[in-house]
Amino acid sequence: MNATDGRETTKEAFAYLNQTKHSLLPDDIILGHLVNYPYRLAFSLMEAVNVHYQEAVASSGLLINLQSALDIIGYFFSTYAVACFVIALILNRFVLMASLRSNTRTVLLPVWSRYTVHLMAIVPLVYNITQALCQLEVIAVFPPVEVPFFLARTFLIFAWSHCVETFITTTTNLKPLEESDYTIFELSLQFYFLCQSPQNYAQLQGHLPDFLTALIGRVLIHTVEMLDLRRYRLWSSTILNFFSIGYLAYRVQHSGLDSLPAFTRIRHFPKIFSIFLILLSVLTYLLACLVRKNPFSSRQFDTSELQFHSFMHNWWNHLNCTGEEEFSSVISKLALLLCSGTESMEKGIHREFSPLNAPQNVHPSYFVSPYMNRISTIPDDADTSAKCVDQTTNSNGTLAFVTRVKLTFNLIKHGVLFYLKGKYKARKGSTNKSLKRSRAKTQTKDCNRFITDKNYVKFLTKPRKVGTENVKEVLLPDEDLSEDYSPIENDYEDSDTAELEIVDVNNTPSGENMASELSQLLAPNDTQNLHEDMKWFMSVWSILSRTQFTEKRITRSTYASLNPEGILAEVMVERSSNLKLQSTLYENEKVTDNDTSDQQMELVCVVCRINQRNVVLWPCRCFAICEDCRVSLGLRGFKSCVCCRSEVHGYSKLNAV
Amino acid sequence: MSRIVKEYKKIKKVLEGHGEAFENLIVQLAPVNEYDLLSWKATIRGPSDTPYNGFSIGLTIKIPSDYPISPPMVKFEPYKMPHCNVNFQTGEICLDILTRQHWSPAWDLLHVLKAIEQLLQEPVPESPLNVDIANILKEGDRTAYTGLVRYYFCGGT
Repeated sequence: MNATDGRETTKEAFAYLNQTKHSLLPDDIILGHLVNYPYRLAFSLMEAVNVHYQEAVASSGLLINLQSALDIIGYFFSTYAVACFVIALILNRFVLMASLRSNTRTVLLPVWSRYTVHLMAIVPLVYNITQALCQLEVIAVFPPVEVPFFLARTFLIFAWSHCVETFITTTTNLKPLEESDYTIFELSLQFYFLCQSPQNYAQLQGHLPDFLTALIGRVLIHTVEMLDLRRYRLWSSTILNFFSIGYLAYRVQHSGLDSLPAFTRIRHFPKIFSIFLILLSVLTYLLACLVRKNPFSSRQFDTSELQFHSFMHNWWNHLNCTGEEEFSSVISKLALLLCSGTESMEKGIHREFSPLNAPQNVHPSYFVSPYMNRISTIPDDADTSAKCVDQTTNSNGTLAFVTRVKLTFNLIKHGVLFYLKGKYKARKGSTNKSLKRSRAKTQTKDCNRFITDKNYVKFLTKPRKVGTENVKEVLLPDEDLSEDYSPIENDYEDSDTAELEIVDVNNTPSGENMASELSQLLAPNDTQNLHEDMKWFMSVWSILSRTQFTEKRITRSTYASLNPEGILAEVMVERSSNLKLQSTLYENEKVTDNDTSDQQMELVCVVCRINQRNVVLWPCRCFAICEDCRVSLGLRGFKSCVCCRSEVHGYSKLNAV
Repeated sequence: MSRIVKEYKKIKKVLEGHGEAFENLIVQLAPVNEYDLLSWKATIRGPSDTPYNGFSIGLTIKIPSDYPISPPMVKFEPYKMPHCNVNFQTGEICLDILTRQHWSPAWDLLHVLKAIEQLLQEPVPESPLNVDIANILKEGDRTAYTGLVRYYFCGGT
């Protein structure tokens, strides 16, 4: 029934479609329809054009009438146009001024000036937002004012905000942040239209949300600039746009599309269209994924084989956003990227040349020097340096605040612990012994292991307090409990003469008188202990020899300050003796295993077998490949060491000389 | 590309008598044609204490153009190979170091042959390409296994 009704009404509404009364030939003869149908179609088309033309002429809505022409011309002579022009000139001057200065230096304005100037813009903006809300009768802080006055003020505040922003950013060699949706020109046009006639004043209600969004956008820009958070600008812009679009949708749903002024529609169309395009592409991609995954079949395909897989997973990288852009420009850029076939094909293609054409898949391992990711180069320092890394990485950016909070928390925690410990000790004196014992346990670590050529200075200049039981093991114990020890004062002043004489430690003065001197000096009480103390004697040998040489008794610390290199050499000799033993064993094994003729081949890169090895991989420290092979392996997405298969986090290039 | 040249020199030297380690394994390992190092032919001895003991097994090796980066393609050809990790029809080998993920550019053809020898010594029936032999091995029937292999080598298809 409904269908026939519809057909009837259509026929009535468009009477010219029914041309059955016209016919060139009678319908009942053969092929009569063949001639009549085109004839009737042409007839209805002619009739339709005629009817609609008449309608259009009658309503005069379609044609540009005199009034609209006057409006357009009138704008160019209005105060708003003049103001817009003047402001554009001022902004242009600012930018020109900036281009005349050297832009290589980064200029930093003092913080107080940045804050003051931006606040000078924010305060009027906020005031105007409140005024606009009052105008909307949402809140009632200020009494509503006359529409032209309000508009003029809004325009001035807006211009002022632009000037401030442009001035500050160009002075500091940055790009001014702008809202491309709400340019001064567009606003001036809109304001001019509203001021045009009193009956337009009533439409202010419809335009106010737009003005509010523009004003809030300016406030956000100033806030972001003031707090030096430019890279979060996109976020704030996105949130603002999200709300404004949501509000528009709400209004369209409630009072129809006609309730939106033409300005608003034109302004928001590109944004909404871009969003629509993006949603459409995402939906298509998801459908493709669904087909690929196919929950109903047993065979599951990997979605990463889809052509746009890599693009969809890296769209953010392809956008090249710094975070300083505004929402609408970013979204239109993304939509353009999705729509431009060839470009997204190039970026999306993933299957054919996977390792080379998708650089985002390359593991950074083969390209990162250990200095960049702060892998400790000295294995023994690993524990101590790890903490430093934590602190340094935390200290940059906004994490500094978190670190500060952590530090204060730790301070409080330790303070409380200290207090509790003190109480505990006072209550139980007997527990002291066990405490001491535990401390002694921790001290039995071999301190020599922690000395490297980087940190030895620390040990030499500020010797640690070490328990008595491991005197033999530490390099230079602070306390000496052997009996003949007597610290000598006033020797220090004379030591500069000793400093001038450079003693080769290895070149010990030989002779029996030396030995007798030694025995005199040391005078061990029990000779059985002598053998056990041999190590200790060895450790002080160089000091004693020096004492002999300078005919002056010196303490260990004096000796250390006089001859740090000598001590380092000793430490190195002692430490390397162990290593040497191991390495000689290893080399013997190698020699028996391989041909002697292959010895030269050993230092050739294991991958190309041509170049010299000169790259060490971290953290496995395999020294196996050359620079060229590192690059080609890294480009092909290798993540693990070619020799030991452990994951690579970085490399060092060695220069063999 | 020049890597394979280097390797060829090394292999020559090894096979001329210095490499005791490969004496028991390799009968022949040489390119099919001196001017084309991309396809190789190898003959290995069946390792002792396996059913393959006493037989010579032929292999063809195809070197890809980006060789040390990609693994060589090794097949049992031209003769059929009865082994649970070898496709009987095509001669394809199921060996993890010959796949792209597990291959390391540090290895060369000698390593590959060594790995194949190991595969002959220790078949992996858990990932079979020849299900019949894998089933026999899973049952632990060494006699049947030896018999089957010998049957194929001595005049079977």
